[in-house]
Amino acid sequence: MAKVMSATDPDAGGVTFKRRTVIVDGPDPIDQHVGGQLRLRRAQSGMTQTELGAKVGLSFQAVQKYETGENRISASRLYQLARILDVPLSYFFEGLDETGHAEEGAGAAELTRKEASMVLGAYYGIKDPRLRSACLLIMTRMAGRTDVDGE
Amino acid sequence: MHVPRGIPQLPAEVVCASAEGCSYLRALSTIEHIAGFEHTAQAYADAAGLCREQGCWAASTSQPKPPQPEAAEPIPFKAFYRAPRSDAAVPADGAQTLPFVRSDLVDVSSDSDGNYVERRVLKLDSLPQRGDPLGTLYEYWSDLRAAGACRFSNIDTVQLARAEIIGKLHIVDVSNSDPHNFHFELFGYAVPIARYESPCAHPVKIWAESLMRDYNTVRMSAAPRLHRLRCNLGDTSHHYTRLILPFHDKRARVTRLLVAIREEPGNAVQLKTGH
Repeated sequence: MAKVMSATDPDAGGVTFKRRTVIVDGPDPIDQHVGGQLRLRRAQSGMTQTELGAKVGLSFQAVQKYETGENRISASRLYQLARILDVPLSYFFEGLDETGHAEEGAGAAELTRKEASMVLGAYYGIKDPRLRSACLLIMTRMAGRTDVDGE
Repeated sequence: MHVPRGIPQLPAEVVCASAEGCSYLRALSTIEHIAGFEHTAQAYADAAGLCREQGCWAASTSQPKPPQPEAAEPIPFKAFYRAPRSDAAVPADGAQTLPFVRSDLVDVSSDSDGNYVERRVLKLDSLPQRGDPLGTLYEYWSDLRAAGACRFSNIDTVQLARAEIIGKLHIVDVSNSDPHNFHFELFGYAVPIARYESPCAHPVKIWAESLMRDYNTVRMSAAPRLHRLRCNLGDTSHHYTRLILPFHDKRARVTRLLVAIREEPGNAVQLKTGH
């Protein structure tokens, strides 16, 4: 079991920093965020993990671990990746607030998206068109809307 | 979002099959979401939604389509039952009849409603390595396995797109040990088969059972499987090849299956039934 250490930084106004380990605490959220941004940009560029790895002299497993946040990306590597992917260094930290947490809007939007996806899945799972129409009517009535009158 | 450059363009009518936006980008979004990459999932979902507002990106960039062959005429099909003959003639040369033993490699089942399912297990090395979606996908999966990285979070959607398999791909959650609780997390939008939330929900029971059995076999063995399927479900005949690939979680338990389908000639043909 890895030892978890704590230290108090006097310059940080008494804020306590806890040393994290991937095995005990899981990947650091900031590393995960940076990895997520890396993956997004790679996908937008249409590059596979293997191709990106080849450009920076890494295996595709190393790129996988960067993307999941299991491995931290060193400053020099991040600089290399930013150049290859043609983005500024700040791109990898976009969406993080001042405290280093992902902005809440993104999480809330994701929850809404998942919920909408579940509702749609359940709706189209109803095979009987009359039942589907009835469900739609109930939902619109509950939402206080009158602009949809079923199928 | 920029449309990924490495993703092949598909004909517009395939891509825009869904009223909720681009089916292709939505499928990519779902895969990214399941793999745990919310940034990319959200970006794909946003891009899918833009199709409705700004027009389909695939339609604006796709090449002129080659002329399509006319749709196949429905094949007349008579459903009938032939009772086994009890007075079968004994061979004149006095040869002994041997009991028929069904091959392990072929499994046939049918029901009284005329539904019929034939599954043939194929060798994985029969897949061509180049120019075939299933072969490309299997090669990619083999690379992942060789590197000990067969977790679903390691999947690369760009590789899936390059294999040109998006839309003909299901993702099945098999984390529950009871096959009746398996469910589809993604159902290939281009697969011409009735869509259900879980394999056991299919009204043709022999079909549902064969799906659950095959999925459970891969879950239990953690080994990929390749099948050739020929089946008549209701009034439709299906012919396709299916590759099932297992993916495991952190504890090396198979929790997800990637099911890829390659349609064979004569797939999704409507059958005319009559007596």
